[in-house]
This record gives sequence, C-alpha cells and structure tokens, in this order.
Amino acid sequence: MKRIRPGVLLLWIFILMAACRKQPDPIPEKAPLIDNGGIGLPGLRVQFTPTVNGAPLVLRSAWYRNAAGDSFQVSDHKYYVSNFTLQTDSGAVVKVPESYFLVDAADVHPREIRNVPPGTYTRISFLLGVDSARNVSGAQTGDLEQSKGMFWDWDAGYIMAKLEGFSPQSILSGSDFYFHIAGFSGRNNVLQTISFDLPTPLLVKAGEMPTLQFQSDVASWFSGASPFGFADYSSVMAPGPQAVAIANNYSKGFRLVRIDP
Amino acid sequence: MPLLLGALLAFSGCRKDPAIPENPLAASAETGFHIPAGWPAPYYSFSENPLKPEIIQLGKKLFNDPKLSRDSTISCGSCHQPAGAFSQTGHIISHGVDGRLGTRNSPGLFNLVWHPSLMWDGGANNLETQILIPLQSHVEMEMSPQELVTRVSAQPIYQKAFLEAWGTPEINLARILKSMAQFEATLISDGAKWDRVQRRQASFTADEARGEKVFMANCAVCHKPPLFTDFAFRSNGLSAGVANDSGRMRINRNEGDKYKFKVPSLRNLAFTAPYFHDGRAATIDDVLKHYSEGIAAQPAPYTDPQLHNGIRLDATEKEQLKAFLQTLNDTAFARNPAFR
Ligand code: HEC
Ligand code: HEC
Repeated sequence: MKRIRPGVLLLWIFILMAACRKQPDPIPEKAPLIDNGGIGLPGLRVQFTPTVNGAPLVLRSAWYRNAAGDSFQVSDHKYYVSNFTLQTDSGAVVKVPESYFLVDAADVHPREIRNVPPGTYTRISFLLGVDSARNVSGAQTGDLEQSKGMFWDWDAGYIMAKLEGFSPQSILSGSDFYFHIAGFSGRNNVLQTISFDLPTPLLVKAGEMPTLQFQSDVASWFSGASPFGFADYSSVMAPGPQAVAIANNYSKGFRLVRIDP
Repeated sequence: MPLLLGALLAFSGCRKDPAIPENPLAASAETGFHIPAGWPAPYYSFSENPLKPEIIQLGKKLFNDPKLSRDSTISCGSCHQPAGAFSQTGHIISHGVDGRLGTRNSPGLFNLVWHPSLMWDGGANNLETQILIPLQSHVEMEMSPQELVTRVSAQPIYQKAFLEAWGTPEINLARILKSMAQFEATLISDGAKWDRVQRRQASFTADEARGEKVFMANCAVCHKPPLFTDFAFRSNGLSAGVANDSGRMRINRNEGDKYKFKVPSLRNLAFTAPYFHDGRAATIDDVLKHYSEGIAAQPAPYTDPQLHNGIRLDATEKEQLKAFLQTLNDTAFARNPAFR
C-alpha cells in the first residue's frame, strides 16, 4: 500500500474544514422573484400595456364599449404573466427562472429579465397566470406575495387576471362588475400559454437591454369564442366554465407590437 | 490512523448547523417536532421553511395575538384553544369579529403537516396560505394582509422577535405566514393510549380491544390509523343541513362532490365536541346513532357507497366502540404547556 504522507493528509483536512466553514444563510428565503441575480449575463425587458381597442386603458374616467354594445368604465385591472421562455434561431429553448410579473394597469412599466444567455432569439412564450406549482407552494415574496389583492381568500390560489369596473348594463346592485379569473387544475384550469414569433430577430448581448412591447386588450375579455355582455354576467368570482371561457377570450387579445432597442 | 480519524471528524463537521436542520427530524428535541414511528412522511415540505425554535415561538405569539383581527378582539387562538385540542370549545359554529357567526365547526388543529389539503372542503392547499382564509374572512378576523404587515411591523416587540427569529429585521407577509405555519407544524398529537399500545407501552382493556375490532371492520376504511383519516372527501350520509353547505363542490364545482367533506381525524374527540362539519352532533352517542340508525332511516343519494345501509351497531358494540374511541384522546397534548 502506498504510504500516506502525513503532511498531505493534514492539508486535506484543512481544505475540508475550510470548505465546511461556509454555512448557508440562516434562513434560506427565496431569491427576489423579479431579479434572478443576473451576474454578468445580459438581459431584456418586457412591458405589458393594457389597452382598449388600440389605446392605452385609462382607469376610472374613460368610457368604453364592449362587443355587446354595453358601455363601461374600468376601476382595477391586473394580471400575472410568468414562466418566460425564449427560443434561439437554432431552436434551443431558454427557460427564464423565477420570471413572475404582476401587470397593473395603474402602474405600467418595463420589467427586467436578467441572466439571458447572449444569442439571437426568434420566439418568446409566456404563461398567462401563475403555474399550478406556485399556487400550492405556500407563502411567496416579490410580485407573488399574497398581499396584492391577487390571492383568493376562500379557495387558496392566485387570481390570474382581474377586471373590475362599472357599467349601466351591469345586473348587480351598484352597477359594478367583478371578474376574478382563477383556477389552476383540471377542467377549471384557466392558464394559457402565449407564444410570439419575433418580428425581427432579437440580439441579446452585453451592454444592451432591448424592450419587448406587448399589449393586451380589455375588449377581448368580452369577445372571441365566448362573447358575452354584462346582462349575461356581471360577476365571475369562482373557478369554473365561465372563468375558463373568459380566459380563452382574453388570451387572444395579446399582441407583440414592437421591440425597442 | 489518528490522521484518518481526523479526516473523518472533519467530514462530520460538514453536517449542517444543528439549529437549522434541513431534515425536520433532526430538530425534535429543540422544536418539539417529530415524526412518530410508523407514520407516513409529512405532506408539508419544510424545505422552504426549516424549523427553528425562535421562529416557532414567534409563530405562537402571532397565533395568540388578537391584534391580528380588525377590531383586535379575535386571535386564531380564540377559535382554536389548546384545551380543546385547538378547536373552539363550547361553540357549534365559529364566532368571529363582532360576534359574527360562521357556518362551520372549528376543527381541532393537530398533525396538520400530514393533511394534503386543509378545511372541511379542502379549500386550502398549503399550511402557510391557509392562514389567509380566516385572516381575511369577514366572519372570522376581517384583516387585509397589507394591514396585518403594517400592524405587526409597528410593534417593537415584534421588531425584536423577527430580528431574533429570522436574522434580519424585515417583517413581511411571507415571514408572518411561515412563522405561524411553523408553530402549527409542531402541534403533534401522538400521546394517546392507542399510541402507547402501538409502542407496546400499554395494552387495551377487553372492551377497548373488542371496540378496536368493531372499528377496524366498520370505520377504519375512512378513519384510517394512525391519523384516523384518509383525507379523502366523502359523504357519511348527513342530510344537507340548515346552511345547505355543498362542501367539496364549492371548491371544485364538481356536481359529483356535492355534500362531501374531508374525513376528520378521530383523535381527541373528548376535547373537540360538538361533531360533524356544522357541529350538529353534540355527543359521540349522537354520532353513533347517525351511523347505526340515521343513515338507514333517511337515505341520502350522495352517501359514500361504503355506508349505503349504515352500520348496524347493537348497544354492546356501541359501548365497545366508545371505549376504543376514548383511547384516541391525547390528554398530554391538550394540556401541553408548550402550546399555551
Ligand atoms: C372565528 C373562528 C376562527 C378563527 C378566528 C380562526 N379559525 Fe381556523 N378554523 C375555523 C373554522 C370554522 C374552520 C373550519 C373551516 C372550514 O372548513 O371552512 C377552521 C379551520 C382551520 C384549519 C384547517 C384544519 C383542518 O383540519 O383542515 C386551520 C389549519 C386553521 N383553521 C388555522 C387557523 C389560523 C392559523 C387562524 C388565525 C390566522 C385561524 N384558524 C383563525 C375557525 C376559526
Ligand atoms: C365512508 C367513510 C366513513 C366511514 C365508513 C365512517 N366515517 Fe365517520 N366520518 C366520515 C366523514 C366524511 C365525516 C365528516 C362528515 C361531515 O361532517 O360532513 C365523518 C365524521 C365522523 C365523526 C365526527 C368527527 C368530528 O370531529 O366532527 C365521528 C366521531 C365519526 N365520523 C366516527 C365514525 C365511526 C365511529 C365510524 C364507524 C362506526 C365511522 N365514523 C365510519 C366518513 C366515514
């Protein structure tokens, strides 16, 4: 047997001890959800602008008309987009971890996706809503923190999209309407994956932060495969076929309008 | 050789910090959490919320703090009292802020980390987010999560406790929920006579042993040992009741799940009366009467197939069954000073 040299062994012990010194943080909390701690790697921005019939949505003062001819105002409009993936020109798929953004019509601004490997990308996909896993994973931080009025208080899970407002045609007392679209399992699943081919190849490289400008359309909630007016329903506050139908409607209202350098 | 030993020691030095166990089992002495022998693996995952004594204490403080309700009158502990195995003693249905009445009976809280879903209808899928339901309910505490964070953050006593427990002073909703979930996770009830019999530290009396036979033959399919529930949603043949509570269907909109409720554990029945989701049975005798005579007398179409004709029990069998059910009461749990 080869003789073990005490000096070498001592060195090994020393290295092992040193390697053990570094303890994990006392309480491993999840990294902030928006920024995945991109060190060095470049990134891009996404901005989602809620619109109605082509113009940015104005809360509480502007009057709009849906396909059924009802007039309405919007007081609150929010939705989640998450699980972004990018596809390169060679077909490779890059999943962006921890990409959860709450889009709020009252506060439209670009959101950063960091740590994207440099390359040329031709396609982007994202989930409209919060994946089922995160619906059942307990307390969350960042945009997913359950304090944003987007978490149900009787059937624990996220409201994927919310539209509230006022319409003379509403059948509720007070003429309000409430649509809280939720449900993440089985036939009540309202999650929708949306994909776009990019109009021009997107070059991701160090020192640049291109912004993908998306628009959603509030009018699309009421039209599409399952059109409805406020006389049909003015409130959807539970998972089920109505929520699924509305999610299917509004998923068709998304557009990628341009890429800003 | 001594050098090799040294190397081994250095390796074992690599184990995690004992105060922050990755495996909750390792924490038993300090945290009170343990997985009793022969029990399945817990459903709740501690990986994102490792147990720590200071966090558990903080969670207990929050659990018992009435400031968590809108008018500072109701805490979780108001409806979940230690002496009632964390049920609301003396109430058929729950009482919340302004004396508002709920529609369901407050269940006991124990062995919660084994529940795949919480609430009678399974409306909560995680121990942490379950807390948001009573917190925001207007018949319970009527508190918004934002207001909760503001209130807790404003108190010097919590500022100190969060710093000690979490290592940094930040107070946010996630930390509040995780702290409370840690306290709830430590509510383990495994000290009943039945448990001692399994551990061969005690034995059943003749009546208890006969009662066990009746139980295993008739009840254990749904009330499955060692947790005494299979956590499934079923109907045990109760009529719809005054509130016409549709149970599981309220959550999944599935017509086939109408009037189904999560099978409750039968541990600690001595402390959790009254019984059933709306508290309609005052005593165990009432419960047994339902199974033995009630179901057959008033058949309900949605009743679980295993109970279609009810469970005929004569007077002796009822007494034996009651003697057995008594062995599931964990007095040490209901009196545990660590939970008060
Ligand atoms: C007003 C009384 C009341 C208050 C206050 C209250 N609860 Fe409850 N709790 C209930 C009732 C009633 C149920 C059953 C509800 C249901 O199934 O819909 C319940 C159910 C539960 C459950 C599920 C148990 C099981 O077996 O599925 C947990 C866990 C729980 N409560 C924890 C808490 C916590 C934590 C708080 C404080 C934030 C709290 N409760 C405050 C009355 C209350
Ligand atoms: C087919 C499944 C099933 C069988 C078999 C069954 N139970 Fe139940 N049991 C339930 C369900 C479901 C509930 C909850 C009913 C409700 O409140 O709506 C329940 C509730 C109870 C409760 C009330 C517990 C509480 O905390 O409110 C007791 C006690 C009980 N059962 C005892 C028994 C006994 C004893 C037997 C055997 C004689 C038995 N059960 C057989 C499904 C079953």
